[in-house]
Parts: sequence; structure tokens; C-alpha cells
Amino acid sequence: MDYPFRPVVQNWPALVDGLFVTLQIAAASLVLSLLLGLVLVGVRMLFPTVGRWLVTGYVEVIRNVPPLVLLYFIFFALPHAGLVLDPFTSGVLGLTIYHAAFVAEVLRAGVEAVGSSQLEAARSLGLNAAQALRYVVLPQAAVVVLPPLGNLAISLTKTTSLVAIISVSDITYQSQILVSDTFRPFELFAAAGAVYLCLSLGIGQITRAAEKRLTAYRFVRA
Amino acid sequence: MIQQRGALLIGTKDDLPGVSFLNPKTNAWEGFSVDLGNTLAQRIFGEAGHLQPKPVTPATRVPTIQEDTVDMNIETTFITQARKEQVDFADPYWGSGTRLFVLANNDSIHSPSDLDTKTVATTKGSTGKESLKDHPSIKWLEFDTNADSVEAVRTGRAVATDFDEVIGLSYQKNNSGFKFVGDPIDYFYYGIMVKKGQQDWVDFINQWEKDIKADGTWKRLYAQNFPGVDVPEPPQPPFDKAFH
Repeated sequence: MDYPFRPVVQNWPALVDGLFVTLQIAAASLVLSLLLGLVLVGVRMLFPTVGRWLVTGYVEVIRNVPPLVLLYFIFFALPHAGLVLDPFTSGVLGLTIYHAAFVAEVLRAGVEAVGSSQLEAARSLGLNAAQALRYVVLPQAAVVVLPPLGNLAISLTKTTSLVAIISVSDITYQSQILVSDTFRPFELFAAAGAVYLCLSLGIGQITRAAEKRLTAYRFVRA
Repeated sequence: MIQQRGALLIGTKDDLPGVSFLNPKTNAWEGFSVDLGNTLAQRIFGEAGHLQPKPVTPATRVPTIQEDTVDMNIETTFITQARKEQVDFADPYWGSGTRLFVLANNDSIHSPSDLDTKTVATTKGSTGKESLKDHPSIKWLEFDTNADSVEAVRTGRAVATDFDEVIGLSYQKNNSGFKFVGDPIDYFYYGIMVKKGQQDWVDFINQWEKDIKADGTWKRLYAQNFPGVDVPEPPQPPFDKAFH
């Protein structure tokens, strides 16, 4: 018997498999792009001339290339240069390279918001540049950068759907395959959309909770 | 509706030279399916220049019919039972076997059983997976276009892809380095898809097909688009060549 959302109900194991792949790729790309973004902003601050030049170049190039083109490049073009990566690794690499550029920009803005006088004061107390960054600038910058990083995490989670095109079996890929088997795009893509909606709303909640915690000191110490 | 709009909208592939191709050099549509569409549009409007092809992929071609994005689909769409439940087909207008497509220097694949436990590329929404369903240990990589599946074979991510000899004919036009191996694992007819429940429209298309097959137009356009290839006979009733 047919009923609404039958293709979703009957094929839930495939969709759940896809959800796990989506979660894995989102988590891996998020962690790696935060790390790479941190490295980029560190290089920029520690090597004021060359570092700044290199990081600005990276950010400007990557930020202005569509992530889909980046994925295609990694998956289909790099093999011609001798580098063949499996679909999952290609997906994580593409999403990481892309989002790290945005992370670097957010972190830079956060650090600048703290102000150079803080850095100078820390240096005058005898901290080296790395220590000043770690103990003085970053804790204050964290409060500033958290909301935009939360938005980036949401954007990254949604962008993971592009990896379906390089045959990573995420939830979008699974939905496409099921649509081509069942010819029921409405229900299947609605279900996939609902999953992304829940993930994004969840990340929004986590960000807000973290923001509350990070700013709690303002009320305690005031 | 088509008359009022002033154009016949067909869904077709844009990446198959010789079959249906949006030539990036000239930005013009060309190929056998497009030329056939042109003769149908000419019959509807009484003059040339009323055909508007829209690019579709195997994953989008059935939905674009169901949602009225196009009036019909003319390309390498096999007539299958599963598709017949979703759309109506006019009479077969062409046909093709399905074979394994591998790198020219690959000597280890000769038949479907050589693919067991190996990775094979196919295209979402195509019959590639169905044709090899007796080999469940195959690991599948599914892509959005045939071009991407071929690229996966070229880069070694997959050992083979399986698709229509007609599609391979098209690829070999511009790419050497690939070959078909083994006997056909399937044979299907290509059909023109239209939305369900439009018998007048199907009858009209069937009459046009009969006429172009009978008056030599079909063979002439085939020869134009596949120079140097033997021109086959167009499919004729009782249309019993298909495996399924």
C-alpha cells in the first residue's frame, strides 16, 4: 500500500547511514578548518610581512572560489597531477580548505577587536608573542568570534551536501539514489532538508549555550 | 500549450557529442537526438527553429517530465519497467547494448564476474547498477553525470563503468584511452518520455517516428552525427530485441 513518505519510511537505514557520513564529514571538516584557520591567523601575526602576505593571498583566493569548484578540482583535477584521494578525504579536504579561509578572517577580526594595546601590554610584561596570543588576546577574542564561528559551523554543515557530487555517500547522495529508484523526490528531499534543518538548529543552540558560558564572567566579576 | 509558447521544450543531455551536445565552442546544440527533435518541432510548427533543448542528467530527467519543465525527453533514456510506472514512453526510437567500459590498457576485466569486490562507477538514475545486480559484492561510486563516471575510471578510483555502447561511441569521439570489453550485459531500447496520460501526444510522436524511419530521415541524421560508423536499421515493431 502506498502512503505519504513511504520511500522515507521504507529506506530509513540508507538515510541513517547517509546521516552518519554527513555527521562525520561535518565534524572532521569543522575541527580541521578551525585548526587550519588558527594556524593561518597565527602565521599572519607571528610573521608580520611574509605571513601576512601569504595568509591574505590564501584567504582572498579561497574565499572567492565556489566550494563546488574546489571539490571538483581536488577530486578530478589533482589526479592529473598524480594525487588520487578517495571521495571522503577529498570532501573533507575541500571543505576544510574552503572554510579555513573564513575561520581565519573571523579570528583575525576577533583579535583586532581586542586591540593592539592589550598585546603591547602583555609583551611589556615579558610574554613572548605566542604567549601573549595564548593567554591575553585569544581568551578575549573567543567571546567576539563565537557567534560568527557558530554561523560558519552551520554553513559548513549545509555545504557538506556538495560532497554528494563526488560520490561521498552522505544523506544528500542517499536521497538522490533513492529518488532515482523510487521517483519520489518530494518526500525524500523534504526528509533530507529536515535533517539539515535539525542539525543547523542544534548547532545554533550549542553556540548560544557556549556564548552564555563564555560571557558569564562579565556578570560574575562586575 | 506548445503552440502558444512557440517552442518545443525537450530535456536532453548536454555532454554527449554525437548524441546530444551543447557545443561550448559554438554554444549551439547538436547531435542525433537534437536533430530528431528539430524534425518533430518542424512538424508541429511548420518551420524550423522552434526547438529549445534543456540540459538534464539521468538523475533529473524523470522529474523534469513529471513537473512539466519540458514537454518531452529525447536522449539515451532506456525504456524500463520502473520508468514506465512514472512516465509514458513513445515507441522505441533507438537502442543500445550495455557494456563494460574500461581503460584501454586494462587487461584484467573481461566480464562482469571480474568486477566482484572491485569498485565500479556509474551514474545516479541510470540502469548501470541494475544491469549488474547479480554481482552484489561490487562497490559502487555513483556520480551525477556519465562524464564524471568516465573520469573516475580514468583516475583509477573505479576499475570500470558500465553504460550504453552509444554513450561509449560518443566518448570515443573525443577520448582515446578507453575500450569496451565483454559481451553486452543488457540491451534496452531508447524511448521518448512524456508525462503520463497524454495519449494524443504519444500517438502524434509515434506517427512522426514511423514517418522518419520510413522516409530515410532517421538514417540520414544518424550518418551525419556518427560519420565513419555503420548506420544501423532503426528499431521496428514488434520491438522484441530488449533483454527485459
